[in-house]
Amino acid sequence: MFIIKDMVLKCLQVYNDKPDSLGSIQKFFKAYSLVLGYESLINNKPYRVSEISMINKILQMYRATVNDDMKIQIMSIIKKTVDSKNKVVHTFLEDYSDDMSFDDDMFDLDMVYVEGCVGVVKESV
Amino acid sequence: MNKINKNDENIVQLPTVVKQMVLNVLAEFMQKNDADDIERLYRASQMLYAHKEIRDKTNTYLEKKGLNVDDLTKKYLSFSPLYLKLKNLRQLMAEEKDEKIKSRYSNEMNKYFIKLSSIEMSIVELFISLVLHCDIQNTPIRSAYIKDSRDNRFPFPHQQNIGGGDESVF
Repeated sequence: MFIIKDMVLKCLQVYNDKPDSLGSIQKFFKAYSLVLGYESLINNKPYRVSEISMINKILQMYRATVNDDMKIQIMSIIKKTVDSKNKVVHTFLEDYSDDMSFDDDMFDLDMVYVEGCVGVVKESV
Repeated sequence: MNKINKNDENIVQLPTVVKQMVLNVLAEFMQKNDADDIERLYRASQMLYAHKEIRDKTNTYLEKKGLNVDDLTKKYLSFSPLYLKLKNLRQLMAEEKDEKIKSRYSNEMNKYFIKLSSIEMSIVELFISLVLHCDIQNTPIRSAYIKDSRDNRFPFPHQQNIGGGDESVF
């Protein structure tokens, strides 16, 4: 389980470092997919494929668009989507903070920069 | 919460070299910011899926969860050809200057998205289930482990002591 949380945290860190880059946004959605997959398996919370599909389509639209105004509009939709999923990802990290067994070396990774996760990391120490 | 205990007898001890390979792919997952992350999860799960003991335990677990293992693995195995098509289209679209043709490619890609999204979640679910059944689940990913894209494979046995247990992984 630790490795999954590690992946989710680092995806968030990437997003947090460059929240406006498409690659970082993709990382955020990958964290979201991991959370959905985990919750679906462990807690039997079903996810909707249409939701993931919609996210992929929006990202694709952004990539395909050359018009700057259009790009800004699509980015605003993407940002709203990120905001709405952010809570789910952070709730996951808080729920599983009890079994985060960080060793000292983990702090080399500067994960404490992840906004909103600082508390989770500190609690687990 | 229904968690799998790390001391559970269902946890398979992975050979160090396999662990290294999986960790390398996951480190790549962490380091690169592109659209290929799902392919990396697929590659990592392939390495675990190839391990019979892990695969069997995972399948038993998924069956107990009421999930259709055949359906899940069928989707999982259909990933590669579909992903290649999508990747091809993505490449063609990036190189295309004509907006009309670009839009045609984009529409074609859209057709794949629902199918691929469903497969994507199957890969994520299978990847997590596989990870939960081996001792790699409690290992942190060291993103500094791979140096660059030309040197991103696991160290070969002659380059390090692979018999030294987990410490030798890093």
